[in-house]
Amino acid sequence: MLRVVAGPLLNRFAARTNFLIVIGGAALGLILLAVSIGPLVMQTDALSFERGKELLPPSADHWFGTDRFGRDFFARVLEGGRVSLTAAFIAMSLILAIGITLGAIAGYLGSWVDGAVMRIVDVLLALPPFVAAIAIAGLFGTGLQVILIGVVTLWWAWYARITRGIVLQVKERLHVDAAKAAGATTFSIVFREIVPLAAGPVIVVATLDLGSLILTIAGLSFLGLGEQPPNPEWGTLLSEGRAYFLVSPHLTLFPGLMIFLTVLALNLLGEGLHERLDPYNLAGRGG
Amino acid sequence: MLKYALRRILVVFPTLVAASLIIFALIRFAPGDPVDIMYGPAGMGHSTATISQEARDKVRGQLGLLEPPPIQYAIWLGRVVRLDLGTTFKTRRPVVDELAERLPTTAKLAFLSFGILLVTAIPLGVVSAVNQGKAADHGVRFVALVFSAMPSFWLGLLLLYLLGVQWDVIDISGGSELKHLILPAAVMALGIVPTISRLLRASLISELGQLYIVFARAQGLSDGVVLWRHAVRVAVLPIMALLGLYLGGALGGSVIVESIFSIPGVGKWVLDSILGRDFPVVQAYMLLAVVIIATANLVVDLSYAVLDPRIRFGGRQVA
Amino acid sequence: MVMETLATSGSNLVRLTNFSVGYPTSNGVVPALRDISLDICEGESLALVGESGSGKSTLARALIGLVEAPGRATGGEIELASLGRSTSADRRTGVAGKIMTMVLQEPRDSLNPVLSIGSQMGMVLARRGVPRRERRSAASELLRSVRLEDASRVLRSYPFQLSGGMCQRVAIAMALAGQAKLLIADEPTTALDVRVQASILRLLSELQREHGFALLLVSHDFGVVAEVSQTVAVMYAGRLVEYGPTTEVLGNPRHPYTAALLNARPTLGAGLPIRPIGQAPDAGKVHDQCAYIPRCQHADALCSESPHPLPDGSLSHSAACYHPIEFVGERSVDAAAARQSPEIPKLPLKPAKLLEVRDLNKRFRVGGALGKQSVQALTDVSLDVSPGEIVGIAGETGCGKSTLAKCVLGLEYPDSGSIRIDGVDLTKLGKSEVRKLRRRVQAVFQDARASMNPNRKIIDVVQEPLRNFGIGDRHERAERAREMLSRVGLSDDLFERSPGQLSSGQCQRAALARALVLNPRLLICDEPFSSLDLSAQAQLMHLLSDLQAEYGFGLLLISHDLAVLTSLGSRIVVMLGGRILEVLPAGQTEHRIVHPYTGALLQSIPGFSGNERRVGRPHSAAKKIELSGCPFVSDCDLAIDLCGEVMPAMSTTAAGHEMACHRSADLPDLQLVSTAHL
Repeated sequence: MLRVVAGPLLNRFAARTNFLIVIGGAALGLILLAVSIGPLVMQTDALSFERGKELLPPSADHWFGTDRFGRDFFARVLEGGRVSLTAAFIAMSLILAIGITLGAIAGYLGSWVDGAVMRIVDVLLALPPFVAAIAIAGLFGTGLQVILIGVVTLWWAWYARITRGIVLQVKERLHVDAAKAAGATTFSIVFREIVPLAAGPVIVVATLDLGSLILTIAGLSFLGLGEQPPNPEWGTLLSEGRAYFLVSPHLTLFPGLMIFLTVLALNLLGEGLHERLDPYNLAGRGG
Repeated sequence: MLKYALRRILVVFPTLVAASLIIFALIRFAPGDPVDIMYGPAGMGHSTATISQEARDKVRGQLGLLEPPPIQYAIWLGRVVRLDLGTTFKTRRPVVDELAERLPTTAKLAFLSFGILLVTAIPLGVVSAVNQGKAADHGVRFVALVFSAMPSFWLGLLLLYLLGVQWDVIDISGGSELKHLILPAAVMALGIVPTISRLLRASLISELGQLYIVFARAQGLSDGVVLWRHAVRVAVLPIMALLGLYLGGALGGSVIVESIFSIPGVGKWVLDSILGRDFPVVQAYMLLAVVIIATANLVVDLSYAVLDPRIRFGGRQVA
Repeated sequence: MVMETLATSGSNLVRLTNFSVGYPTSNGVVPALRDISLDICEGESLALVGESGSGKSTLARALIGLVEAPGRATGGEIELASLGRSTSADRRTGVAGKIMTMVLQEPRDSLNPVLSIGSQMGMVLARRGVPRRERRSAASELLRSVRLEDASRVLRSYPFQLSGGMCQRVAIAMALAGQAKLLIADEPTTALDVRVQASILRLLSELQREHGFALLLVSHDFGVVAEVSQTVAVMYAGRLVEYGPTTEVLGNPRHPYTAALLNARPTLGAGLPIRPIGQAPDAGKVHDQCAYIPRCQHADALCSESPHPLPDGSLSHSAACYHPIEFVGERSVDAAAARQSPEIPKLPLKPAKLLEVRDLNKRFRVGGALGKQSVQALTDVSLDVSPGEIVGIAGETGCGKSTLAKCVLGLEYPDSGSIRIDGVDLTKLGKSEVRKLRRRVQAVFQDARASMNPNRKIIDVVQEPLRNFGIGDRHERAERAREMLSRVGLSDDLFERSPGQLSSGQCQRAALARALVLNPRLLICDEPFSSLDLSAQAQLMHLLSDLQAEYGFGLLLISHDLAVLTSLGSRIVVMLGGRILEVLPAGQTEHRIVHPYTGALLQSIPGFSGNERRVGRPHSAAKKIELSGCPFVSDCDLAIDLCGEVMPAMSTTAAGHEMACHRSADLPDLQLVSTAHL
């Protein structure tokens, strides 16, 4: 019975999944395109001052208005996006590299290696990221690099745990035993039976997490712990604009809106990918 | 149960010792002289009476900084246990006193936001799961998706602008009374409401599909009893760990809203101290965070033991 | 245990008239039940039999108003004598629990995992209006009525602390709470071991006599049906196809499907079941004609015009068929003659051993850092398989049979002992040498679908072993895989599909193809049939038997079902608690003096009765006590003090028949007889 009903239902799901992936992917692509080539083709410089044009509201000349020094705010938001997104991507790459490697090693080897890695992971996971980031900034000073190092130091633990969990789960699955019994080599078991099944869920989590990473980095910058003015970064821009938000709300509106849209696009994409790449919900995420 | 609880409580102490070791090491290895950390760097500060080099050396000796690290740790730990956390650079008042003034506000904020989290996330998750695939579910999921992308600092500013300035319905002067705290607490909670409600939704949908639900219905139990006393009772288990993490992390989450809404709590205090390089405050903050996190974890573990007999009995077959 | 009297003919309880259930999808409503007309009378004992997808569980759930969403009633009526008319795919208040109640297949999953038995029973009793302070004693009373001693301890317990059998008793006790007039039991014993199954079935019959409720038993097993029910209704593709008194339907089936299904049932002491044709369709895919046409030898134009209507539930024997099988006398004799007697492979007088297992021991450590425990999974297990021989390993859950298979496959490492394959000791080999040895030893697992990578096509799955050993080039490998897939009876259009798109039977065939593609010397099958329906099981048994004769591999076959093992003509090794208790020679099914444990297993098979039915106390399987003596001692009627202290040694009692029992000289003759009509 189930099969009869499941067919059409799955089709409908597939349609929805594609829709999410397309919308999320397109929005994300557009944002990435804008922040990567935007600053290059823009006439105005994100750091150049223009006297007499301070705190102008949005207009045809200045889409996002100008800031307190008369700088074109659209240019600054794009440049800020470049900084924010680059930082998030670099951090995520490092997190994935460290987390997946250690998690896979722990899961596959087991025994004391597993014990040691997981003990560290447990400690790191018990630390709420924001509290820890604040402590790190308190100890080592402010700056985007400090924030990034702090975030990577803490965040890899999630991926180590997820990867280890998936490896353990997949390792226990019957087709791995069956492959072994059919004479598969260890190499073939790892790369043909385990990795392809583990990759999907990790990609899904990473996509969704990239959003949280952007939020965290921007949040810390907003507090003044990350990128320092005058260099633009979405959180820094927000914090700069905050002082003027009674008279020039556009200075807080646009950077926040960009963060919101970027994270939303990542969430949509992740949601779509989740149904597509992780049919067994190995990532253990609510859907 | 009692044995489990005692064992679990005893485990907290080694954890705290390990955490204190890490904090001690961090402080020792952090850029800067420990004497700077205790008394502020030579020649720094307006309200700081600069200490002479001889005085610094004397302090160094008093602090036992010339002793080997284990003894240094013991001295440091002794002071920490006696709640002697030094004085702030800025005001020269004992750190503990300043902390004690601010902690109640932040605690109020944290518990208020926790309450808001529970009364929004749980009904939303339940409504969504019960109406799976229907309009209500899609609505809840869509709103959750939108709100989980919303930066809390931006949302806070927007609400402040709209409610406080445009419509003038709330008091934005900043303060530590309940009326000042409701909106900040809501903003703080809103960041995690989507996560909790979607997790509860998934968990509840999975429980509602279990055989014991069919069986309970077949015995004629009412929908309400089946939903709340059977399904939700099991479905909340996976979200408790996240709730614990949230309570433990409230000290971090409060920084942003305290900063935005000008609330005189621990978060704003520590933020100002970080920007002013006020190390004794940062150290106190880390110690406080560790104690809160350890307590939150303990509470979570004990609640699991109360609510899930499989954990209480260690999953071993008794019969 | 046949009912002495037929149909007490109580007044009508439930009447279904042309009742239909369908599942709305984007392609319209897919029917799951079509035009069911059936009467259930007070105090009656009715069985609903069918294979998976026949709609029997849907019908059971529809009766009580718990059709799985989004299913709903699409036509017809359910009439309840006490309520008047109502259609019932939606929940009807006041019916569930009061007029009818239900117990389900997985007893442990039927109970809330985090609530104590006491509080779960409390909720049910509260619903029945029992005042708070009386609930405890009422619950204890109910538990005693399902023969659970120590009620107060059970009330304090949680489901995970009880065995499956105890959970089912608790579920039955809860069902009794409302004094409902109809108890629906949906495969109540399928998930249980055979001895526990027997005790639960006996309990249900006894309770029915005591309380006088009507019992609707949903089952796929004719043995269970014969044991409990007076009346039987056979379902096929969402329709009722045959209805009548159990003795008549089972003894003289009139619908060709019922006859084929009965013949597909492996029987103790008989040969291979008769090979059924084809596969049961999904109810949703059948058009308005007899669904059995593609598999029926008698089908003609009349059959494809419209399905023969089934006369609504009168007590007489009727079948929905234009060409019913006429009464031919004793079918059982007829069918037995039609069964091929098991072919015992002819073995050379002194065959070289293909597999020699000697004194194998394996201990598992369980539990975490605190309270570490270890469980002895295998103790001094020795066993041989000769080339071309079939050796069956029988035993209940946790007896160590799967651990033994894993050790022989090199997937687990034994603590001591040796495993020789063609004289090479597996336990002394390095990783890469074990891998090389796997060319000669292949395996088929219980859950075939899970044993294949879900991302791969069937054809690639079957090629995999060839790839692993670098045999042939890509074309040759694909060619060989195709050949093998065709040999196991899969059609070309399935080759490119993924495992998820195949039925369980098809998956098991593909798994067999994968195992045989290397032409191994030894094939290990771990419960290969237990996830299959009766007809798919019979087909696969034939296939396995044919392939074994053709390729001549040695077969180590693990099964909980003694009838399956005897049907395939295997030598049978009986295990309990990690030890071998008995080895029965192949083909000597008339052997009636067996180990007391084997005796208990045989007598528990539903549909058979021995001279004296001893079901024993079957809960001991869950206990993991370390024993120096015989693992069966706590349930054995013949046990003496010595049995609890010293494990008896294996001794040969007849040619090829070995057993480990201190009382082997005093064992009774079992005199097993098949219940007359089976």
